[in-house]
Amino acid sequence: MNDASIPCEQHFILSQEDFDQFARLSGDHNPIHVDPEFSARTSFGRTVSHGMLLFSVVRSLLAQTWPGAVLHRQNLMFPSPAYADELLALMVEQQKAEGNRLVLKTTITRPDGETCLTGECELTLPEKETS
Amino acid sequence: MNLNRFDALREGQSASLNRTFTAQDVREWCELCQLEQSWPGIPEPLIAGLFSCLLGEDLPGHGTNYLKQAMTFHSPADVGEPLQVSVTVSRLRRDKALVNLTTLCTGRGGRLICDGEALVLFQH
Repeated sequence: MNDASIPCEQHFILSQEDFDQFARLSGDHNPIHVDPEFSARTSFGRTVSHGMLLFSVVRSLLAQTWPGAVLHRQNLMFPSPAYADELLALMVEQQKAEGNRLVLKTTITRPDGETCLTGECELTLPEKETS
Repeated sequence: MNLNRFDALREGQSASLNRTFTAQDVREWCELCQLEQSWPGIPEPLIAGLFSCLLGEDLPGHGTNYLKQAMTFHSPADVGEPLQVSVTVSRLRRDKALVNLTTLCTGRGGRLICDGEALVLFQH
């Protein structure tokens, strides 16, 4: 069994600058992510995060919690949009652990309780060094 | 619900792009998500971001509402490796304005990096 602390939780806030930077990195300059004036006229009312920027935050927490683990499989759903300057909560829970294989459930929630991301992923942890 | 653009979609229709990530791209990604460690290869969310880019900008294009993405990572992509990414319409459900697409990323020599499936809502 692994000794990492599960469930683990992290709170974070994304900014419009973060949306802009992920747009540059991905090439996805869709106005719903980067153009506040355009987005004000949509049903969302303002810019929303790229789903894969949310996945980036998840992946970063996984890398910090299980350094060197290999990500084999990732399922993602984006039920509700995530906005800039709101405190988001990321929760990571264990679904299954067999040997060095770990299946995790990840959830990102908005302050109003709506879910922005649910995911399931499968990691292989690095072999423990035997002394 | 306006389905004019939905009705222009066809099963089998495909869009693709080429991209090579630099070490600077990876450093910027690590800074963006406050990760204080070096990353061997290309972080998976940057690969996923290329699918998002194709879906949002090209096929189906602006107005796409990204609902789901499933991915299997077969082999890590390397810094400086030319990547080819494609999305292909696999199923159209007009009554719900839903589009299923297969998603694929290959690297040097066509080696398989990541494959998977996307589901988007397209009703503009």
